[in-house]
Amino acid sequence: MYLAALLLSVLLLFLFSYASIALGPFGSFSPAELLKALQEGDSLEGAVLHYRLWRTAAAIAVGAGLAMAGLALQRLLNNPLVDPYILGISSGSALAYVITLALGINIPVLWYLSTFLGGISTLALVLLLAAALGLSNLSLLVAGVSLSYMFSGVTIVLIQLLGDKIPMAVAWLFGTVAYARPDVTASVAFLSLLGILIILALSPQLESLLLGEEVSAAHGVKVEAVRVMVAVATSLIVSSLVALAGPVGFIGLVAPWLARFVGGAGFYRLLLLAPIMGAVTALGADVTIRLLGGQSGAELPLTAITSLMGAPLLFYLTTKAREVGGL
Amino acid sequence: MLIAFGALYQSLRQLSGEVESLREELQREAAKDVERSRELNAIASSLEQLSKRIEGVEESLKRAASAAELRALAEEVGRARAELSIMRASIAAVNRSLLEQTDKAVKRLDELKKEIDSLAERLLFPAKVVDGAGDTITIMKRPARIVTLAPSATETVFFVGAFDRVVGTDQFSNFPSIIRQKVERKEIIIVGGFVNPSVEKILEAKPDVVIGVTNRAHIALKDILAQYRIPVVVLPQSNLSDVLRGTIIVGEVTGNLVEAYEMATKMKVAASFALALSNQVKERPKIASVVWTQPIYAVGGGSWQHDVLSIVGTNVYADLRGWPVVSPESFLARKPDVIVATGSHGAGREAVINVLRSALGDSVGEIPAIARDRVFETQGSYNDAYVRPSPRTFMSLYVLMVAVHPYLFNVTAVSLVLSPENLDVQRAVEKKVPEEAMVLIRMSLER
Repeated sequence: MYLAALLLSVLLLFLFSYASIALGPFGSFSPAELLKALQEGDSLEGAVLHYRLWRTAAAIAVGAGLAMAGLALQRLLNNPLVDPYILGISSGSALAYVITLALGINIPVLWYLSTFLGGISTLALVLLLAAALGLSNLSLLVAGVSLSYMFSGVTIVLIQLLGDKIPMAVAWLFGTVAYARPDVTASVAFLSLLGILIILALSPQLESLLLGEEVSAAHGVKVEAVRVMVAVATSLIVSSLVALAGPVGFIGLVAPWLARFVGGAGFYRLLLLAPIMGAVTALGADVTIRLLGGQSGAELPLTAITSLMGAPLLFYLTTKAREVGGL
Repeated sequence: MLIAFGALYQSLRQLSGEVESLREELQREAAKDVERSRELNAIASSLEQLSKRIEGVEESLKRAASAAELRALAEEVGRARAELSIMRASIAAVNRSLLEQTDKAVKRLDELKKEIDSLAERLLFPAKVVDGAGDTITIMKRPARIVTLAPSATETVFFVGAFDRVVGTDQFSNFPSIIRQKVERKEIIIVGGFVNPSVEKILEAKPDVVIGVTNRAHIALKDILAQYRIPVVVLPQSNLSDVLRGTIIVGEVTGNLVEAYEMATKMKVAASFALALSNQVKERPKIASVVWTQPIYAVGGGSWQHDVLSIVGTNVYADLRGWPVVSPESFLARKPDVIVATGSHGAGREAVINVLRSALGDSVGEIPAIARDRVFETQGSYNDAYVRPSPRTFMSLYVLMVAVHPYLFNVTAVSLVLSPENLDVQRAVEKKVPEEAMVLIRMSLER
């Protein structure tokens, strides 16, 4: 069953990647045309293909990274309803990014550093706020959503005030891979891969956290250290992706749940299936906005599509969790 | 290169001869016609200044021949063309028999322009252009294929006479109106929206240069399109003087320098003439302009719309920056005599009156603009010209001049809905404003 799900998702990943490379406002490429365009890099078709390949890579990085971050957060906080967007980590990183741009800093390394600091301090702040509300699954959501709104508000005010000093803010504010620069895409993919590897390395300890802190501690797990490391890795993934594509909503919630629906709830199983589902979700959303834009090339942001999946899911999960007394 | 400059030099010599003989003719006429002598002498003396400037250019041409020289020359010729057209109008008003003489000089200028154009193609490129974002961009050759990313960019390209080279534009560009046919015939492709241009569609248009505005999306495109060796030039668009600067930048990028300087001169004259007119009014009317009613967004200081309002009257929200959200109460405090609502953006006349009335109740009558029913609404192409920072904005300036100061133009009744159907701005200002402004207005109306 799990193997079938895995095979299916890999198949979907290939299918959607192909669609992402073949479809777009320029026109669709047949497999033969794709091969031809690949060979003649200097032609117009070659240029369009180059652009689509990097865009596809960016979507995969965004999807896989956010799915992994969402899964890790859900496990870390023992709360199935959270994702980096809902917890405000994305908006915190976005605010930090906008501040960096507003200061005129055009060095990618500093972007990543500032978004990382923005992301991890938001996560810390959310936990503090939630603790003040009486730590529960719902209070975590409330704290995250309020912080997220606050940071988005400040970001919009900054953009309004600083105008043209902030390139791409409007499309980027709601998530887009349409303007992913190859150099940024490459370094962001590296950084989020690093975060993913840290999470993978810590997965046995994360798994044991589910049994409760005392049991974990009895197994020799340094609970606090694991928590901090996972938080750092999650923030690293999310914040670098924000520098690439802006705050893309809900993939961190949708992808792990899609993986659960098709492949079952085992944590180790999800570690492989969730990122693939995330990449599929992001690619599907990106291809959809290209098709919706049609010939005109005017495209919607990614969150416009992902929230159509994420928001109903969040509602459904919340009602279900309430039924079983999880909130 | 020297030979080419030689031809240019010859044309210049002939032009100064033409101008000189026109001046002599004018003075002879002035001696004959005592009644008109003052006017004729005035024109003669401005002609003398023009010929002195031409001599100055001749001198510098003798010394050196470079792209910078050509630029200076283009600037002078552009200005001379603008000046000569106004002189032609004033000569025609005073003495028709001198027109033939004037037309010779005008024709000579046209030839000179052609020679500059052909030289520019070789001399100006590769051109280094400083754009609205402050970046220096190198344009390798005179671009044959241009993509524009905003209506104001498209319109500016049209005004410097390079529209026939546009092969791609954004989905909101609707001026000149031939865009629609060109899109249908696939001579121009749509490359996306204003804030979300499509990289793929831009690549498809195979542009030599992309011209956008200082919009975040367009600035961010620079890095991406650099991969495909496509330069992106963004035009400044904060205020009216940015419109002039943007026009010169487009002239540099397209190689149509003479037209660009000519247009910039015309815009300057159009603005200063309108200001001189409104300065005749004893008390400058206080104007508020509303661009959106939910909530009320007004035109604040520092925009091209603010500049337009400040020429027509005074902007009551000048102290606030950009397009601030303002409260209905602030209309009671600032007491605008006139309100200008931008019709096509959900802020029509009725919408503005309704939002103020529902918030303020009966005290809405304390606002002079409401009490005297002086709430205007811009519509159609007049609205586009007012809400976009382009050479067309100068037409909207005269639309508002006529609406707010009808008596200055001997217009009796002006409709509160300012549209080409309700108000023919060209007819209203004809013979009352300089030829420079008329050219801008005619071009803006595509006549």
